[in-house]
Amino acid sequence: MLTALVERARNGDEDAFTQLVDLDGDRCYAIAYRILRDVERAKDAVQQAFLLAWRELPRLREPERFQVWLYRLLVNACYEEARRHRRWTAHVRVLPVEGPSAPDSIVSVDDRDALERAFRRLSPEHRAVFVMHHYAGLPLAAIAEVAGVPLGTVKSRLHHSIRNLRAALGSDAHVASVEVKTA
Amino acid sequence: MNITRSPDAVVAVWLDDGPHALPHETRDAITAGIRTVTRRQPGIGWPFTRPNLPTIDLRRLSVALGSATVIVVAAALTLNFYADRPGVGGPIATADPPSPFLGTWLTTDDDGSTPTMTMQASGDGSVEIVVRDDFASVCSGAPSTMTGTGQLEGATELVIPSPVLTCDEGSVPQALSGPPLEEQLRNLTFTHDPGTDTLTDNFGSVWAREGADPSPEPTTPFSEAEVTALLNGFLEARIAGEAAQQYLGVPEEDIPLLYATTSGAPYERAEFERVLGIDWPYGLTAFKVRLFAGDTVVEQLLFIGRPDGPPDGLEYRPDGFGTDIAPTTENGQPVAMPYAYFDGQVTLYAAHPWWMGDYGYIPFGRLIPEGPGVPPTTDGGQRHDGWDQLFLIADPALGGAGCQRGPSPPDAAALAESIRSNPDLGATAPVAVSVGGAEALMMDVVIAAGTTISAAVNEGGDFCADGLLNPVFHQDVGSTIYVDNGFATGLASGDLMRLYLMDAPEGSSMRILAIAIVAPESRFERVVEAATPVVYSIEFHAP
Repeated sequence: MLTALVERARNGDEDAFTQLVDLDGDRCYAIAYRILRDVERAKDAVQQAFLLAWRELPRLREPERFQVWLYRLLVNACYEEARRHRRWTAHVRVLPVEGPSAPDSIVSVDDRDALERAFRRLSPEHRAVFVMHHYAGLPLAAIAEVAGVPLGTVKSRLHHSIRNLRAALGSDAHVASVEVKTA
Repeated sequence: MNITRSPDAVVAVWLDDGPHALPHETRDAITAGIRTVTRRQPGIGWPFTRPNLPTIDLRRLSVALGSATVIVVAAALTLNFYADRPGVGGPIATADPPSPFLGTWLTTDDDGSTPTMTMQASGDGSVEIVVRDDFASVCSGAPSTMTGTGQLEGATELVIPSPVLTCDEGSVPQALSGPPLEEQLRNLTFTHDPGTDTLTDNFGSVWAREGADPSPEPTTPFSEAEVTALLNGFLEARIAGEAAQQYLGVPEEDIPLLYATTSGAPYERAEFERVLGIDWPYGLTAFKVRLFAGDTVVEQLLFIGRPDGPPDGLEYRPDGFGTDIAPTTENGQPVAMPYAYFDGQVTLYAAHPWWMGDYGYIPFGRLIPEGPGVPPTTDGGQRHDGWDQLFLIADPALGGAGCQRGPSPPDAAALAESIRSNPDLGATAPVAVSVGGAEALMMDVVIAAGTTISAAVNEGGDFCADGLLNPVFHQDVGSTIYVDNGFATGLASGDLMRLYLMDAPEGSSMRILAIAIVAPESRFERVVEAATPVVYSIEFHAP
């Protein structure tokens, strides 16, 4: 079904492309937000990626590869957004978008703060690899294609990102204890 | 109760937090936006031009509407500036445009490659074209060359009946879709627009004359008066020798030769000009400033004004976005900047055309390709071909699974010997050289392209930072690297590697420092020559 939609969109069917936006828009937005950690920039990146997709779609040779191709456009749009704003967002502390975490969450406020800070210290390229793998669930080879870098670079970025995020949690050891109340 | 939690689980929960649904207004903006986008033609799929996409953004609309075109602004402010300030020079004159079609034309694609087309008159009144693309999708990303001869049809149309496109590495070009490539290329037509002095081909690609400014001008939140005041104030402060920071969006320490030349001579006068012909990232506008101190001229590349950015002053980029323009020159020579690595134990000086970076674990430099067609980069050319590299590797290792070091050579001489005696490596005999006051062994190493090689990796499959062979693993995305039992196995690129092996001074955290210069054989001599001043500038500092 997806391939058929892509083929229709490739041939200029705007309704088909709108359906693709409906199918993939949420996921793209969720990914972009997690790379950029900013709602407005994520919106801009998604908009840019889809408009570029619409323009370039006639030249997409293999419709079944639409999603990987779209992710590539999205990641590049995120890079642009991240760098465009990099300087003056560096000093801004972003509050959680959906309010405080649930009281029984295993992620404390301090954890969130530490992770946000550590994540923002990563380059956009490192963030993209991390989100694509740990959030979007893409295999490493696909991420290499999406990011346009060698597989070894993907692994390296992933490792670097994980190491830094773990370090942010102050976890030299691989497990930590947390006290929670049970009913 | 006490429960255990893993950091990775915490990270996973944190990562999952956040919005999951595309806001309606963004969806609506996309569906409205696609009606205003001119689509690509299906066909040979050359990644030609990247026109600005018309995104709909109400937040930015007021800025765009309130902005005059920068061409007008820049021209006006330049004239004002020159007129108001004695001792300040004028803008660089632009040559009259030649005949409509003849000359060199450029366009830029999404991957950053810049197809170049030359059009020359031939004896019988026809026009010959040669189009070179360093990344042709019809050649699976390999460079291509297209040639053809055609005739003018009227004053504004040039038709090439039968252009021939070949892949430079010998493969047969394939159309990405539609009819055969030859058929799609038939009667290739270029239409000249005298108003903009651009060519548009029948695939919709727009070609700009080399040296012209092909891109739509970025809007800017700055008025003419603001730009004039900013640049005037900045240059006056530099001449006065103080208080330039107020005009900068970066720390003034980032600006080389801010108040004086390398010899310490203060500046006497200054001028600036707009840099045309390059589509700078992020909607930035570039200016060259020129400061004079006696016979010495310092020239720098400065940027101003993103379309949606706050007026936070002039920006300087040590890499200058990697074009052929050096960020700082003195009497025409690029000025070398210091780079400190390994917690300050090693410094070296690198000037344009080197772009210095650090992955966080291995310092490297990339050599900006030669020529005026190199588009600006925001990643040091990482996503492009043709950027040769230089690496600094502390205590380089040839073996040892899982990042466990193999037998550790006690010094550079022993490491050189182990490289020489490794049957998998082709290596020249080490030659003793003096590098920046340190003794070094220089040798060239090569592994034939396609040879299976391996290097140590950690438990995450990541290359160990100190692997001597890492730089010569094949960099193509399609080349598979298998990870097993602490080793990554893949194909050698066939690139040559010039190695400098040095014993670190007593007290250093490393015993051996290797500098590896890596390039294909065809470019190796140029890269080694370009790297020589960088390598020979190295200094060790006791921790």
